Amino acid sequence: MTVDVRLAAVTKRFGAVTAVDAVSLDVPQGEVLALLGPSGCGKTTTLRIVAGFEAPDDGTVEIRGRVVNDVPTYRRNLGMVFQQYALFPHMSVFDNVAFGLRMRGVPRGDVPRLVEEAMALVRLTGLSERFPSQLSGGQQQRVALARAIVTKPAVLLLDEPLGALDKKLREQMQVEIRALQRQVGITTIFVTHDQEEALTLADRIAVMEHGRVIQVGTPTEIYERPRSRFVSDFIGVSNILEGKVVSGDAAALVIELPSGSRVSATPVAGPATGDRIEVAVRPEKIRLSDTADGSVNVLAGTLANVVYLGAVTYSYIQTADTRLVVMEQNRAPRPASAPSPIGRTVHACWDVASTLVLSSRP
Amino acid sequence: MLARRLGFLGLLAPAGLLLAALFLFPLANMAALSVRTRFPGAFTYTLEHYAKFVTEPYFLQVTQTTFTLAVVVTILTIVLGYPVAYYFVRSRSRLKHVIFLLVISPLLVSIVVRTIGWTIVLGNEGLVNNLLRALGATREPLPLMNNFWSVTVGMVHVLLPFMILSIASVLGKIDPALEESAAVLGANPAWTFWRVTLPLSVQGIAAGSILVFCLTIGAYITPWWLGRGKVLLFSTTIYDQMLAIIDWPFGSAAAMLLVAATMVVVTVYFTLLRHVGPR
Ligand SMILES: Nc1ncnc2c1ncn2[C@@H]1O[C@H](COP(=O)(O)OP(=O)(O)OP(=O)(O)O)[C@@H](O)[C@H]1O
Ligand SMILES: [Mg+2]
Repeated sequence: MTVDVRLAAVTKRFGAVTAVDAVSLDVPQGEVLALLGPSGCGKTTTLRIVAGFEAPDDGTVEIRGRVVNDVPTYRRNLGMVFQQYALFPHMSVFDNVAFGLRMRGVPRGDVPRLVEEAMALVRLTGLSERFPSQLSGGQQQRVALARAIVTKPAVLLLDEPLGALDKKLREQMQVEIRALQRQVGITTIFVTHDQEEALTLADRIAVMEHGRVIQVGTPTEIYERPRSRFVSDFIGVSNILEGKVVSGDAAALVIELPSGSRVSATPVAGPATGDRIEVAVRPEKIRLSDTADGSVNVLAGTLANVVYLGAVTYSYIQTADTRLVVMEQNRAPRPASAPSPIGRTVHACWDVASTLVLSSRP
Repeated sequence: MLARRLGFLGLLAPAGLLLAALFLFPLANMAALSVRTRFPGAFTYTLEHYAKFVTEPYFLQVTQTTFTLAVVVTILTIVLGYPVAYYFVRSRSRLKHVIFLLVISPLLVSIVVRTIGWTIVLGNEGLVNNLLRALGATREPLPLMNNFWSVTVGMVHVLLPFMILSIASVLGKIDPALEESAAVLGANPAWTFWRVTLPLSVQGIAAGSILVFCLTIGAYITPWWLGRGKVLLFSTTIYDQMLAIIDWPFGSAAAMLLVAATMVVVTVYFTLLRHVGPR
């Protein structure tokens, strides 16, 4: 496995703000890595450091095994798509895409063919003579992509590449970019604050908070095994339960909630009996039933609210300790009208493995 | 629809009236004057003043000096102003506000103070000559004053802010991501400037050039003071004809020719520039 991009303890400060704080990341060849996090967490700055627009205060940046801290952007062999595309407004689509080829001294005769190929890859043909201002947002996006990949760069960088598109087009482009990336196999780092985009596009996701990378993993790892409350909240929705460890043996980790109810989790290293602990349960892992269904984890409560969203229904259950949100697929046909279930007593049930331990302290 | 049109015209009315009263009316008057045999007094219509201007070598010399000066001043303000405008727009430094003040300072100082200032610097007993003599570089004072270049220096000094502000206003609207884009695509800073920044800022250079060019051609006091009768320009000639020789018809003809020539140059320049820059 060759590593195309390696960040080692990279730090960047702007005055008093530490925008990027000791970030270390390896991006293997051909991987799509998403930098995901809330606004201001340092995603763009990290990407700009890889691009060479910002010099890190500390740490090293390697591209294909070469330390590039002192290599200017134009010698780093990169492709990049900017949020607003940054197409050259005074050049035709053809000249925009050909720009990188010309700068790299590609023989004149080869330029039209290579441009044509790149345009075909992004499924955009026949617009070569137009100017960027004469294109729709989606078309500009495709030109920007073609321009970035036509030179076959070592790494493709994308800063919120779909941020300026409407939802439908964004989803379509996500699928297309994924397919395109698979086809050309180019190592890609992209920035997003949209968790769905990260889950759709990325092989791995690096979740950032306050300039630090707090968890890196595949989409499944990040979603199913978040290691902190922040990650579990930022990716998807979580029910957070706080309590005390009452038994921490090898069989099960049993947690007592303030009301005295108990929930169990798969044992993990760390928490000891008596520790304060925080666990999470995803809304879709919970089943609702009228009676305790024999699951290990059962919390009784009253149905406080029901939100019907077509494909799924969200139910809010008030228990003695907290208000739980539960997501259920509307698999069975629903009667058009039914008596309101609000106020009914229900039981929220889930498996031991669905209780995610987030943190504990003595 | 019509009411709306009239409404828009209403917006133009105050400026329009002012322009008509202070510019178009005197211009028309001058045009009428320029074809009279004499003024004041009885007259017939004639084109002799125009003929005189375009045939006498003296006036052709004046025309040539004037347009050479305007071109040289325009080029110098572009070359000196562009980097300052670029710095001003892109710098994150706090120093840039100081630079801004320095840039517009020539506009804050009265024309008299400014020109006398240059006399103090360039005169025979001036700063430069005294320094050169103290260093033993020269014995006799260099003739730095009262020539084409002293006028050029004075004009560049006062017109530089117009060029800088014109270019900066356009540069400021260029998305820095365009230059970054070029760098990512492999363009070194020189190519980035040549292929991206410069073409996109041509409109600013154009606007600044028109301002500087026209203001140089129309300038009177600075050339008169720093040229002292050695640098003969269109504007000083018109002044002499009108107020020294009191030949109003001939002065008017010269003025009309100046307006016409300037308009031709400006039109040609704009037409050339239309082919570069963004769509
Ligand atoms: N040029 C700069 N000068 C000063 N501070 C900066 C600069 N660029 C970024 N910062 C600061 O660094 C921090 C990280 O910024 P960055 O742009 O990397 O965030 P981000 O994760 O991309 O956020 P967003 O999702 O809003 O784009 C922020 O606090 C920001 O204010
Ligand atoms: Mg950002």
